[in-house]
Amino acid sequence: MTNRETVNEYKKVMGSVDLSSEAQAKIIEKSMNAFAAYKDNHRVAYTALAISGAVVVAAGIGAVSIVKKVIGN
Amino acid sequence: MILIEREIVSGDSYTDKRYIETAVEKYSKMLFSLCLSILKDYDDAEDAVQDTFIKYMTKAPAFRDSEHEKAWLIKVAANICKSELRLRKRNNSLSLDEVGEIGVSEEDSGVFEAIMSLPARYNVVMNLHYLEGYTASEISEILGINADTVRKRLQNGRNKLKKELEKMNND
Repeated sequence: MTNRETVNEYKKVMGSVDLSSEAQAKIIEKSMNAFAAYKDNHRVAYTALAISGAVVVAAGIGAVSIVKKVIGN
Repeated sequence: MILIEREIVSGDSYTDKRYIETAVEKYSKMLFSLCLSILKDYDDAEDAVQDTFIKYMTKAPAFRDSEHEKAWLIKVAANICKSELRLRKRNNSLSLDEVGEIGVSEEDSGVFEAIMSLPARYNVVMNLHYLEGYTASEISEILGINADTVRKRLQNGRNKLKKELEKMNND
């Protein structure tokens, strides 16, 4: 058997390997669902960060006014 | 905050169902063949392809062109398979029932089994070179291995397969 024949056998067999249309549909559906969940999780994280940011800003304003009171300005 | 916002925005370009359908139609056969050659298990290969597309929808960067997109998918799929291999230690043989499920004819099932008996490191480079037409240096970039190693694996993989097929024909 030559190298070319070996490669041709490889290409013929592995080239015919395929996913069924049902498997493809399942992949699409699961990918869409996973992405929806991913997006929701990130929205929650984003909102939490935004809220914590607002708290920090508010705390900062509070701290500034306390300092102003302390130094009498 | 900006990072998360950008992730959501960039991800949105991949959320359209038609977009993911097109990508699955275009790349799933290639990815499945690659994952199967590494994992040697139909269900695990299907799961790996699925995880690849989930990463595609959630983590994909902006692609320069379709070649960049394809190379990114191959790299992600190969990494997912490598992680799976690290996680499991089990019998890698495939039953003939699974061969039928994959669509390999009975006539070719012996060749398929011979290919599947090759170590994954040979199958990956053979798949990318002989089926996808990548050069050794391109495979080296995609998989992050030396180009000489790729050439050596191609040579060894071919020789091992040749021996297996000759043995099969003599039996």
